[in-house]
Parts: sequence; structure tokens; C-alpha cells
Amino acid sequence: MEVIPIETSKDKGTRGLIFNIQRYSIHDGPGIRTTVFLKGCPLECFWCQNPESQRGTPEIFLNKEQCTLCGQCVAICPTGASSLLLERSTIDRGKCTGCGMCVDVCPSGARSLVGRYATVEEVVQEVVRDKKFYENSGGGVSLSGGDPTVQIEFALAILRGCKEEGLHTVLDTCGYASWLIMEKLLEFTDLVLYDIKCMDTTKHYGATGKPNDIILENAKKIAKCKLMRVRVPMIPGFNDTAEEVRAIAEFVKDELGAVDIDLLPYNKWAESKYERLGKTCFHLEEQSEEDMERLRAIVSSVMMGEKG
Amino acid sequence: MNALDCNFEGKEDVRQLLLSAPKFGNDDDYVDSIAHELYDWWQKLVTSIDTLYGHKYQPNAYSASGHHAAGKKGMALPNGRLAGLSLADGSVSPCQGADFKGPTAIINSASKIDQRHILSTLLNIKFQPVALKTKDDLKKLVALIKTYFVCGGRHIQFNVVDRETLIDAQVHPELHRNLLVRVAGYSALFVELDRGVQDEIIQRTHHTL
Repeated sequence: MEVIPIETSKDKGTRGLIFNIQRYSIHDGPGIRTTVFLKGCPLECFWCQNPESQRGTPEIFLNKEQCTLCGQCVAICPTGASSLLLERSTIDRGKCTGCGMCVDVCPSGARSLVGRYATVEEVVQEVVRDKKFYENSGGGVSLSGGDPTVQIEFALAILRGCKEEGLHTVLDTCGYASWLIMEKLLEFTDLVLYDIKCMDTTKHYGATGKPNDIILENAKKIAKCKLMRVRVPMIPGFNDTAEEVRAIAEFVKDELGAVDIDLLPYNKWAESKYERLGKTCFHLEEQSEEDMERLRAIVSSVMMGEKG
Repeated sequence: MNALDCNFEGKEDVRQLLLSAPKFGNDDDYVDSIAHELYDWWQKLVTSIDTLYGHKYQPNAYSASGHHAAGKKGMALPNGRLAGLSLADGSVSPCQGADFKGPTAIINSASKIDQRHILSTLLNIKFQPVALKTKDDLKKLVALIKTYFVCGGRHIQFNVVDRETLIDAQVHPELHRNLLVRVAGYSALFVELDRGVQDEIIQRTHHTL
């Protein structure tokens, strides 16, 4: 079982790499929440809505439209990753270390740094600021990513810190981690939001770069000991078919029991982020509201079958 | 001061530095304490003055659309605002686009100002419709408002409209005759507003999730 080594700092567990702390997050669990996004993910789904979350190191967002071709980034870049090729500002992502020096000198704001190292204390302090809102809405903190399992010590320390503050905690995970890691995180988790993409492991491998056997095994174990919701991102042409949705719903019903399933419609919001990262974006069409209703009806019919 | 006098002309670097400084509306204790102190000082000053009839004056932070008119006459400000642009739309609202940490942070900032002795402490927040789609979303909004009032807030009001609709209403006013928006202290039909006020509303930060 591989775990991507990320934490480079000496005081392991107290510092980690985050790329966003989203307050008033209302679609990642019950109530008003603060979602902490940890950078780094074991999967590489081709449709990822947060492509800037995949790599476990800081990265540069480059908005070519804002670039004035002044060349200051080229001059300062210590690894020679930045260049002005054919009158276009480009970054050789293989050479770029994400040091952020080009961001500091960029006068037009075309470059920004994604990902910063933060201490657990810093993160928990930011989360606690909205405690009153959590109390009035039944909310709390959500840990998302990337995937929180990648920075296990950091994630664990955040969850523990939030629990000490008496907050409700949600773990949003793709499930691709050894059970030893999962088990540790679950100790400080109240609700697990668990992603299942598809049932066929070869298909899963093709789309995410990893098989799904560990994911499905972990799902069964979590269902036995924690409150969980399964979330299925609906990817056009990949898993938004009646057969696939039925297969997932049947797995949930037979193996996990009375667990809710949320089908999440695809949206195109992330497309510009792919461009800014220099990654290839697959332009997919969003599902219509009717398509989603049809797919949700399949889920309910499978789940209802359980009682009858 | 030089940079302010010449409206940042040729001093864009100074302006960028000022723009990137911490701003009110992001739950930053240091910046918020300045707003708190300023309001306190002003409130004490106003209440110390006798009126013609022997009463005391009452401080009232009501801006109506005065923020736009006053802004038009105003010089450049050290927050990076250029001369002639609108001021903040509500008396405890952050400047347009200065807040980036979401509605809970704005509310935390606004509730640090002691609103007990000041009238018309207006707070306007703009939401994208997608943030208020389901019943559950609305419940969360209710919790948000409740929390503000528990923390000492007096007034909060919302615009729920996306940026594209507002821009389209500027281009095709005939298609959006019934588009009602919150200005500052009052609501109005968007298409009937002064162009400058329209632009100011579009520039306010909108919150999606």
C-alpha cells in the first residue's frame, strides 16, 4: 500500500499543505461548515473538479489572459521552468518546484500560488472562528481535498484539534488508503462522505489511475462503525448510465446497508482551472435536471427494494 | 499622500500594495479593531453635541445611495480606491470586492462594531442563486441571520442574483424591468438606477457556496 510522502518539515504532523479553507461551506455535510482542503490525492480522476488539489506540492496558476509578457518571471525563475515561448508565457511543469518566486514578482497578477503550508494550530483557529454559526445550524468542520488520507498526520491532528473544540467533524474521502490510516481518522470523525465512482475495477483504473478494490473494502468496514453517505460524481459518458448507477446502488444496499446515496451532477466550473495548470481538460456536457431525476429515481427504486 | 493627491497616477505599484493590505470584512481582528474604534470615537463625538432643542444628537450611519454620490466627489483613498468611485454600500458592509472569506467572516467583522448606540447599521450581502437553491440551503441562511443578530447585528439584507443577470440587465433593460435589488437602506428596480450605482452593485462580492 503506497502513501505519497508529502510532509517534508521536521515537525511532522503539525504542518501540512492546504489549498483552501472555505467558510460558509453549505454543500459538504450538515449545517454551516468550514471545509479545509488538503492538497494531494492518491487518485487522478480525469474529471477532477479540483485539479489543483491532485499534486502534493505547491503549484502555479497561470492566467495567460492577464499576462503582459514583461518577462520578470523568466528572469527570476531559479529552475528555468518559466519561459516566453512564441510570445506566450509558459511553465515547464516538470521543472517547476512551486517556489512561488515568479508569483511575487508578477506585476499583473497573472500568476498565483496554489497551496501553502499551514500549521494545525492555524487551521483550527480559523475553523473555530465560525463556531457560533455551527452551533446555530448543526454544522461543523469538513476535511476534504485532494484526499485527507494523503497527509495522514496533519489530517489527524486537525480532526483531533477540532474535536477538542467540540466540533462536529466530516471526513470527505475517496477511500483509497490502507485501513490502518482510515481507522485512525475515523476515531475523530462523526460523518464520512465517501466517494464511489464505479463498480468495475478495470474501468476505475482507467479513469482514476487506481483500482477500486481497496475503496470498496474500506466502504464495507466504515459502514459497520460510522455514519456515512456515499457520494457519486456523475461523469458524462463514464458512469451516468442507468446500469452503472444501479450497480452502485445495489452494492450500497447489499454491502453497506441503510446508507444514503447522493448523485452529484457534473459541472463545468473547473475547466478554466485546467487551463491555468497547463493540464488537459476533457470538455464534457453537463447533465440536464431531467437526466439527474431519472438517475436518482433508479437509486430510490433499488433502495426501496430493500424493505420489500 | 503624494500618491493619493495624484489619484495613483504613475503610482500603480503603491496602489497594488495598498489593495493587497488586509481589509475589513474578512474577520481579521486587527483591521476590524480599527473599524470598531472609529465607530466608537464617532459615536461618542456625535452624542456629546447638543441640538437646538437641548437634546443630544444620535449617530446614524444611513448611507441610502449617498455612498455613490459621496464617492463621486471623493478623492483617492488609502485603501487603494480611485477618486470618484463608490464608497462601501452599507455602514458595516465591506468595500466592494474587499471581502473574500465568505458571509460568516463578514458577519464576524460586522459584529465586532458596537452597534447598540448607532442607528442604521446596514449590512448588505450578495448571493448567487445557486447558494440558495434548496430548502436546506435556506435553513442555513436562517441560521446565518440568527447568528448575526445574536452577535449584536441589527440589519442584514441580501441580493440574490448572478452577475450575468445584472450585466444583461444593463444591456437589455427592457427584459429585466422587474429586477429588484437592494441598494443601501432601500430596494429599487435595477434598471431605473443610475449607471454608477448599477456598476457598484455588480462589483460587490457575491458568495456562491
